[in-house]
Amino acid sequence: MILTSLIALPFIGALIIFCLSEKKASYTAVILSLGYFIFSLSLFFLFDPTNSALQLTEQRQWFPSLGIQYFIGIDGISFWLVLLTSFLFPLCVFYSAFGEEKNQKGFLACLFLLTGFVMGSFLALDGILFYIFFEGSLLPLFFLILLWGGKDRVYASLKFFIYTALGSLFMLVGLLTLMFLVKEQAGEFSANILDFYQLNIPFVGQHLLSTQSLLFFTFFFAFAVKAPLFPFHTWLPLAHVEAPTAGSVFLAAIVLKMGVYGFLRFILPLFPEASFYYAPWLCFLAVFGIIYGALMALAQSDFKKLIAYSSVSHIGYCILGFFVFSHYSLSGGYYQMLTHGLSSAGLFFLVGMISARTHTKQLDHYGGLAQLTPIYSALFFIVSLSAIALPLTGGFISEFLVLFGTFLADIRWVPFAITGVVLGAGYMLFLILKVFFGEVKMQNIPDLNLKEILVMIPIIVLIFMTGIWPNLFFKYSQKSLDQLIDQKGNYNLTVHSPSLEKHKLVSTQGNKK
Amino acid sequence: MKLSFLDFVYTTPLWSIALFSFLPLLTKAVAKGKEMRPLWVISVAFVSFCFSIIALMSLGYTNQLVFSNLLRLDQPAWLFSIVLLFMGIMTLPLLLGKKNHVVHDKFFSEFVFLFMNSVLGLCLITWSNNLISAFIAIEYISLCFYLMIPLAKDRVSSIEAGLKYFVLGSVAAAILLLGLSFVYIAAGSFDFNVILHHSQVLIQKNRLFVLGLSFICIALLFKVAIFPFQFWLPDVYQGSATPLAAFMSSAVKASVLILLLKLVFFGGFITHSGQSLTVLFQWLAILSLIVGHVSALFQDNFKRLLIYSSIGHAGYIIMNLLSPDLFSVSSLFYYLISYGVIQIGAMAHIMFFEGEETTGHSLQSLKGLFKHKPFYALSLTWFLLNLAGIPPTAGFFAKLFVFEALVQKGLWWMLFWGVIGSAVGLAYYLKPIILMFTLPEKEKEVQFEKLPWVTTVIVILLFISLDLSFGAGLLHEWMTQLWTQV
Amino acid sequence: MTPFLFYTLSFLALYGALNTIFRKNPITCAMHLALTMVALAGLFFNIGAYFIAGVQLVVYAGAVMVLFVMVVMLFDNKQTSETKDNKHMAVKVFISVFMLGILSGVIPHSTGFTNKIVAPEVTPTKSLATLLFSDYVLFFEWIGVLLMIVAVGVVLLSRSEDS
Repeated sequence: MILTSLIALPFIGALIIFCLSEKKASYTAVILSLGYFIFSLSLFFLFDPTNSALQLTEQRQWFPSLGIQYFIGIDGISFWLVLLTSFLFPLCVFYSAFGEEKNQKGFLACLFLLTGFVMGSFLALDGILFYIFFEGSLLPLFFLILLWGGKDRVYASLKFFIYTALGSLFMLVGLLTLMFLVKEQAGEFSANILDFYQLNIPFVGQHLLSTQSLLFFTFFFAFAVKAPLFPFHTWLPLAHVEAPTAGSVFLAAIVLKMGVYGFLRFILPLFPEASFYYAPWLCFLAVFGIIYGALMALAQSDFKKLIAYSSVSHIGYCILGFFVFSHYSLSGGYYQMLTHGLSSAGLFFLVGMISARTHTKQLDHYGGLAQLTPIYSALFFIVSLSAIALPLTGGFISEFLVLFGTFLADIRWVPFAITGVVLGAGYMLFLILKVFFGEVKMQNIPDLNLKEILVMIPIIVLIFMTGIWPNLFFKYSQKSLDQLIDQKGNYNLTVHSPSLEKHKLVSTQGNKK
Repeated sequence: MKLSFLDFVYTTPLWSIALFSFLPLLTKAVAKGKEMRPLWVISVAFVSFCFSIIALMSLGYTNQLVFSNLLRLDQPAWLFSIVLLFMGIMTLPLLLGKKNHVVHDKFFSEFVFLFMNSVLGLCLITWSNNLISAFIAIEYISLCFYLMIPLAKDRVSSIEAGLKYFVLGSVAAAILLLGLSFVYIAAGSFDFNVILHHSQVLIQKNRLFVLGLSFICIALLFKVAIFPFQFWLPDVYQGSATPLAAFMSSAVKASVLILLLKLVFFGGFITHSGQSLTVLFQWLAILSLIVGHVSALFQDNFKRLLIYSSIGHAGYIIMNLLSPDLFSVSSLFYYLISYGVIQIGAMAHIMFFEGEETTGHSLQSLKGLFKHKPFYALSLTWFLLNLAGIPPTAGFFAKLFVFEALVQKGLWWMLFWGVIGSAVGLAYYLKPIILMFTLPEKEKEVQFEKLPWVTTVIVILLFISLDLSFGAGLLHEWMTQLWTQV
Repeated sequence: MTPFLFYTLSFLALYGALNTIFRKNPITCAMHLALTMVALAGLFFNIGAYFIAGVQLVVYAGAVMVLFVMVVMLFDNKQTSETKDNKHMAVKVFISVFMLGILSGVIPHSTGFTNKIVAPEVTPTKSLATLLFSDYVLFFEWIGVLLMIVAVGVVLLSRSEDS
């Protein structure tokens, strides 16, 4: 039940918030989101880290004739993503509540809806259910950008929506094809991921049109747009710049991870041969994205756009880590999801805080902030350390693991990836130099108030925790991640459920024709 | 064959509408031509439709032949009679909506008389078990529509629309009759059962039969406005009163498609005639999609945009019919029902902006709606998202079923076009949504008429579409079971 | 005797139809249309469908043609004499020939007709009437309602609105 409530509670919360008055809505939102996070902490007790199986599963029939079920569950891969979402959720709400935005409760309701959809997509184990949540998450984000965004928000939200929706439509085709293949091979329709894993999808080496290749491309397109992977990233800088602060945070930290999660949940297990075959191309795109993102970030004159491009760069590490097929790099890529989530959340919060004061995002207008706002500067330095991947921060662990794994598995990407690290340090330090040092260009910038400090502190704490004590985090995910590599080509998740529900898998029903 | 009392019992839902429909006329005659209060006239229609629904519910869905095999109360007829009556009920408050601005004041009773008869005719189409039944029923509704369209308040545009529809509709009726006669020559009977019985042999051997069925198909596709017979649709619907256009675009599609389903697809037209006809229908579906969606992209007028989008949706509906298996049929039912609800809901919003004209309003008048009237902006957004097919709306599930049906038959080419169509549709459905949520210029007031009846309808339809989206699975299951009893 | 009658009547019908299309004067067209109707009635007589032949004469040649001529009469003669324009003649001819081609390709090559022509023991009129009032009585009544709608419609459309 806990997983269903994790999905359902934000929706109910959104409804409650919509019905209240503005003032009460803010209070209620903060309390609800905090309670939600505490509630999600119970997963620590309920989840068994020694088991790589799917846990806390719930399964119910939904469309029997199509084989679509309501099937949710959590394993090592989704565990930390769920917690990251529920961690950032109260921070975003707290930051946005009591603000001067007009239609405050609409904003908060959108955040709640977004969390609900995102949570659903992380927990869904049925293809179409995943699709519904995946695509449904576009709606609240679209409205967040459209209604509370910056100057160019119409174009940004439109491009975001159409680009991502187009990618998802391809995934829908892929999902339907998989359901059809299940029908062919096991006798009945099913959209259950476990049935998908049992499929025998033919792959012919050089053939671009073999089933597995085509399916690979459909899913790849959807997740590459969302992740984003070069060259499908063009919607991201625009969306980030125009979105409101909490929206940017959520977008960078969580929504992008939905795309990366898709690689882990769908592409690697379902299409092992195709992944292996196209891995060089994907690594090329990932590495290109790393360097391209870093170079673009160096060239930016807009504060938020710079950080947006740094997101593109960092996600490249994740994809690189996934597609060199080494244990280390996979773990590194996964960890990068978490740490990038934290660091980009922190960076976007900080950008929001300062631009709310100065009403400009142009770097030229900034200078010498270290003298004006010491607390802010200190926090910014610390968060950027994680982006630079300095040891003691989480960013270091993840990038190191990725590089280490790449070094062992496929050394040709290492020089470029390392260049990316250097460039990453480059643009971050350049940013810091420009904004915080040098001559003072502005006056009367108040330093951070209590609310903003309270928002940043948990992020900073976690940045250090992920850097100093990675094992705490890996403990829960290691088994599942290892299984991805170990069982490559033969990936199958089992279901571990203490409630002894017999799960009806179509492929095990002996209906084979 | 003698008439039996049972015949009358089973067709109670139908002739009761006819009886009730005379009531407004009679009272107007008794009052020496003075017009009755519109509310009274509408409530007569409302009572009549409710009575028919209750009668249908109590009859239940037996597979009953009536009037010596001329009509047949089978499951699709039963289901869609209820659906059509419901759509009629939903349109009634819309007619009231604007204090008689919709229909010319003096002719309101006649208009409602014609409207009730058109609903009756649409139900009769679904009940037809005989070619002549079908023909008479189609002529019946066409006649009612020919007369209703010119009665809008804005006489100039509506008369033009009515004339266009009359001329083109008559041509279609002539083609229908020609095809009908060819089929009769070949099969020896007008009865559907007999035709179905002979059709397998006839399709292979008898070209005249095939030609006849093709002509019937062409005429019916004309009514549904599939490419290449869709040219009349935008002008005619734009000229007619908005509630009427909303009703026509959803209800006529539903009933004519049920007829097509029964006659053509289960007549073995698709299965027995081999690949070529399936391919032809595929092309028609794809081209309707393209024409509808691409034309809608360039529209500035909101009403015309929704009308072109209905052409696109007709393409999706045809995709449902490409092979007569159980799944496609229930998908078709679901699509028709959800599309009806959504289309009426979306077009109802036009009434707030159009003022005295029937030609709809420019998209720009939607600008800034969210600031002024958030409820209507949100409801219109919801209906537009339904039309676009975004999860978790009912429209998404309808499209999902269509795509699923295509995958089942391995029609990847069509799936590709369906997806592209969805994406293109997104582009023009998002335009109004974005306009609604942008801020209006400060001086211009948003021209918005408060119409309580229309609001009521919108609320009810919202509720139903939400139900449809959450209950999509259950509904689909139920409809599959419904059809298996055939 | 019968083939001669058939060919004569068909020729008259075709002649009337072509003249209706190609002539410029509306009255001439109407007259030739009437000729076509009468010729068709003759053809119906030829195959033994007496009732249809009678109906054709009474309804078409009688009522419909008279109505046409009356309407044509109401228009100003000078204006209507140049209303024929023969643009896109090629397309129209093509479509007609195309239809002819389809029909000629279809009709001779169709086999397997399940219709058996049975000579009626009673006159066609009587059997028609029997059918109309027993099996197809629903249609009969239904068309009555339809005519009611037509009547209402005529009144509606002919009334000018006094606002």
